[in-house]
Amino acid sequence: MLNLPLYYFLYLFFAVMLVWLVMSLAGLFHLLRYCAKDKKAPFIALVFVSVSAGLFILFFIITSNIDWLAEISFSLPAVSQQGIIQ
Amino acid sequence: MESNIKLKDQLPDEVIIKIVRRDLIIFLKKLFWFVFTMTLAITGAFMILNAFPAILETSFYPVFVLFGFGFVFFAWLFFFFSITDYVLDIWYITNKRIVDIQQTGFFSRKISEQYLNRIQDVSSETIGVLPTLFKYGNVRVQTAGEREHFLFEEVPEPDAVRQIIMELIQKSNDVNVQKNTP
Repeated sequence: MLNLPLYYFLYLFFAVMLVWLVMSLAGLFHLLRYCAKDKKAPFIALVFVSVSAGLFILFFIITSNIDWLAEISFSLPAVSQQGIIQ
Repeated sequence: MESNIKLKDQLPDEVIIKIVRRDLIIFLKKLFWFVFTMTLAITGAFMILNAFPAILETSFYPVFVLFGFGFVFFAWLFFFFSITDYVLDIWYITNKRIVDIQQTGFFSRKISEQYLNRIQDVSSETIGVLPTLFKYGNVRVQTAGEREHFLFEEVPEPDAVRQIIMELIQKSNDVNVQKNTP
């Protein structure tokens, strides 16, 4: 039996979201740099930031009741003396 | 005439006649596919939870939540990338040249330009049901330069764009004839 605390998965999620954040900032930089005089670019950037903020708020609301210190168990397959997986 | 916007390397006496972008329908197509994908994912998640309500009671529920949010965040980010690509593809038609600015990848941008007097041929095409209904298509500009042709992709009113370029070429040729006439 392999017991993993849930906060391991939360840390993994944070690591993935760090990649997401870097890509988002690069995208916003591109958009605002090349379309600085365009009215559409700041609007698109604002919509992206607003919806992303909304998703983060939703994430915190949904996960606020989760006990991240709890563990989840993975049952490893049992191997008999003959080496047969049961 | 779009006189309030200037190109970075605008020539003296150069005026931007038209700024061309891909048709709005292209943005709507991207938006449709994003909404369709998210609807499919959310519907699938609800169907799984309805079929197996015990998942909510298990300790795997937080892992599904994390996976679900990760999927949503990255789907939203890739939609934003595709919209940025749509916004950053621009064609400028000035009284002296055409400038083609293409965002070819996220960290790759290509800018090409050609003087009007080096343009050999301009043609427009509208192919397909949606382009015909919503009047968008391609404009091909054949040039005598290193880059043999420019392609205005999925632009609104391609016939009008072709007409504008042809008129500008004619004006440019008339000016050159006047200059060369003693």
